[in-house]
Amino acid sequence: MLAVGIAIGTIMLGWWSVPVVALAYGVALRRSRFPAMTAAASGAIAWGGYLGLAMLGGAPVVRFGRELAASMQLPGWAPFTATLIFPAVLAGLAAYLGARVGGRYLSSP
Amino acid sequence: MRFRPLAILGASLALAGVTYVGRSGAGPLPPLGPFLDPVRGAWGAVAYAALPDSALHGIPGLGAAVEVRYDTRGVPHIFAASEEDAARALGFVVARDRLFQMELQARSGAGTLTELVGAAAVSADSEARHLGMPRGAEQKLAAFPADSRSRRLLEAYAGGVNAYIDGASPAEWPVEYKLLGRRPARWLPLHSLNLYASMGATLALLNGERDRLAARAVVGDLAARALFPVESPIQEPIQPNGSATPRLDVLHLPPPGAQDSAALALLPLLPRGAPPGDDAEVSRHFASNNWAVAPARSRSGHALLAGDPHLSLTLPSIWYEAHLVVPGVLDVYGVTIPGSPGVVIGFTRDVAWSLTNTGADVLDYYRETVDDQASPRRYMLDNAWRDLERREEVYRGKVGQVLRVDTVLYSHRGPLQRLNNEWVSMRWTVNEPSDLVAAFFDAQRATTASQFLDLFARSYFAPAQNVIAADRAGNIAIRSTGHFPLRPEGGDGLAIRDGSTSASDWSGYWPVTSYPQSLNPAQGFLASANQQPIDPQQAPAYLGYDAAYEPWRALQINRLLRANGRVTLDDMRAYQTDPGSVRADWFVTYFRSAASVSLARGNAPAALKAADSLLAAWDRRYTIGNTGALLFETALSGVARRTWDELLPPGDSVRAATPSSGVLFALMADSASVWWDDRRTGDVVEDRDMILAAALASAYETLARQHGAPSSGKWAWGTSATAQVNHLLGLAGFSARDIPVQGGRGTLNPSVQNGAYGSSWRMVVELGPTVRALGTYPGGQSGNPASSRYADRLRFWKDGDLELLIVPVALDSLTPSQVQSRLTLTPAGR
Repeated sequence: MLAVGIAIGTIMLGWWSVPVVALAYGVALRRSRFPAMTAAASGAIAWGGYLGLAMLGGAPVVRFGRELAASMQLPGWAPFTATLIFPAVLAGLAAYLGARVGGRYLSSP
Repeated sequence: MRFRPLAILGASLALAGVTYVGRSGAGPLPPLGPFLDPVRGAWGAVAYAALPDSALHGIPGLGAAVEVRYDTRGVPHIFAASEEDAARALGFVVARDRLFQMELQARSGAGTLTELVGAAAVSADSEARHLGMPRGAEQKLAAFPADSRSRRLLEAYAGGVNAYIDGASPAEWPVEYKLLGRRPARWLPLHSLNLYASMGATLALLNGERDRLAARAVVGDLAARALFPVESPIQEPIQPNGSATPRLDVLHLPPPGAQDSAALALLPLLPRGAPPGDDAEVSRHFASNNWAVAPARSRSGHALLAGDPHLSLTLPSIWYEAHLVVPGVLDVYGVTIPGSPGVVIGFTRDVAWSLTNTGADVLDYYRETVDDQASPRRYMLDNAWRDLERREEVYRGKVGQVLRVDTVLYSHRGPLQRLNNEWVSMRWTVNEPSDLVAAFFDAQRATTASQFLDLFARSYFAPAQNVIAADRAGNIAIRSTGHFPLRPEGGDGLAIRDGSTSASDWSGYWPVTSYPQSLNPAQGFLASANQQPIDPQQAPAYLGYDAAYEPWRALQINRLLRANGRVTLDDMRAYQTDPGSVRADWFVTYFRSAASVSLARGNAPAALKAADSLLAAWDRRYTIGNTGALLFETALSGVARRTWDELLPPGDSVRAATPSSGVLFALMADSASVWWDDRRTGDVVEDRDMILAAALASAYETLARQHGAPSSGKWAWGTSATAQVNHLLGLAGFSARDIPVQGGRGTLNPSVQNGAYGSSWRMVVELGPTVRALGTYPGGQSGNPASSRYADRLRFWKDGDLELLIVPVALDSLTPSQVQSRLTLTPAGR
């Protein structure tokens, strides 16, 4: 669900929505066991899933990713990895902060 | 969860850091958030790689709906109700495919590249501004009456581009903007004129003054004039001179004279061009071919026309194919330069045309007398002080920050440059007020070849072009068109003139009747390939100089056309990549003769015998698998190196300037000229045959050392003569490199060995009752690297194949299988 939320947020609002949605998730599910890891995975799944769907639709994601990497003098896997890691880090950190700060100030007695 | 302040602080800092990099980037990294965003970022390119089956867009300013059909080659056929609507739609569809390229090329002419790519472009921008290009474009635009047709077309085109920009989401922006962290700038009519200025700089910024002056500094004035003559020693001009064979004019080369200290002092006054390479001849990157065949010499009985302009090979390509139809007014198919509101090379139902660069000398320098060497405000003209115009040039970075400020001074002639302690101004036709838009739009209404040339010449200014045209009635015609300066006392343009008197100024321009031209010559064909336009024995007026011309390709195409009295469209196609070379034929004869002389003397190295055998077996063609071409080119470079050693300034290892290969060939007739002597071999006085034999043997040894025996396969021409079709920003992943191509220097497909220049559009047209045309270019219609249309034509281009062009007479004459995508543009915002 969180991955879907991040994906929808990205589509509608842009990349900024990743930490915002994850922060909200962290606050809301502050009592869950691994909110940061869950959010990180969701961020990666959201962005990676979007590319995956594009691939399934016939978009030349792999070829373009390799050419993009070559143009930036990076290994071919770099754009794909960065597209997974960047939202994962953003979401994980935001969810962690949300959970910690929310747990501090919003915890019921 | 437990509250851990340190962990929270660390996480906060990390999140802030990641967010910062996401928003602003770091070092070479673009802002990662918008860049990696799978929807709007770089990945957005894949979502917009293909044209949609159909689309509807509103465009403010349209007079009526415009229908666009993209054919299976991705070419938009624009059906509009007026010229302005066609221009507006053209702006839209070109922006849709090539938005980044348009902005980059216009900024190149405006000197504002830094605003797009950053401080790395300051020197390129500075050059454009100090050449007066942005000011020239502004003055041209200001000179258009507000209600002129050209201004309306420029504004309509800009409106179309901006309508696309306004309607495009960030996801649709070209990936280059995302790599640079920029967004598209709005298009102004001025930007089209900036683009023309950029093309002018590419094609008409010739610097013969410097070459001759540099030679004069080293070997004296008399020798310099002979080494860098005005007239080409090999004559087969664009305007046929009645001869069925090329004429070789005797070239008398006086011995090298003493160094000329006056020239040495003047040399820094002229801008330094690209350093002359250690090559066989002047490095001519930009070349082009066009030719036309009269019905009497074509198998079909119709006039035929071929054109292939040679420019930088880039992805996306410099050209964009389009078809504009305004019923009863305009029906033109061809290639446009993204940013230019019309077709530049192409055909109508009645006339086809193409262009090659004339190489005319349209730039002169003037040594100005100023009131203050350090900070001049006035210059002397006819014993009176005149104010210099001052134009402050501000160079801004990507976010608008000021990178540099400088001032360009202008006399009435043009911009001044300070070099050492002298001030030199320049006058250049590229900066003069002119209306290229009218030239193209007017000419496309012509119904005959001669009418086309007349309408074109009425407004066309610079860069001067050899315009060839053929029509449905079977006429063929050619004219070197542009504005050619009338200089005082009929002098040439190879001296720096005294700027203190108006007597040094141009007194006007040549009348069109004096332009080199021909209509339906008896020989039944016309051809231009950057050779000298007119035989000086027929018209001695100064138009340009030998080093700006090149005879070899014209000799080859004339040879092919003379030999074929029943030319077909497919012959025309094949000629465009013909691997034969008159240059090789002529020089190899001398090489072989020199080798036989040397071998007969009995003291020749073994390499010479092997090299001579290889040359004897060589068919003198530059095919991909050919092993003789590399040996010949290496040997000819060696000959130039050994022969022109006198042009090495003392203590320098780079020649001051390199005479043309035509001059080198003319020197062959004088086997004992003192120029053959390589002064670096003090104990021997070489003659022609010794130099040629030594260069040939040395070339063989060098290549054997580098590549092994000739039989190893590594001497194959295609391994060294590869095309490099680089992305506009030089991005490797978006480039196509190391493409083996047929052709070499002096052939009709003149691959020079850095490979970054070549045939940028190939077109052949048969003007029968129904026009039949083939064409291709090294790239594809889309500027989006993710698109299958980005480089899909390269496979045709590299093999010399052409595609049949689809030229519908009306919207409904396109069959469904010919249509890839539909676009309807409707009036909006009124």
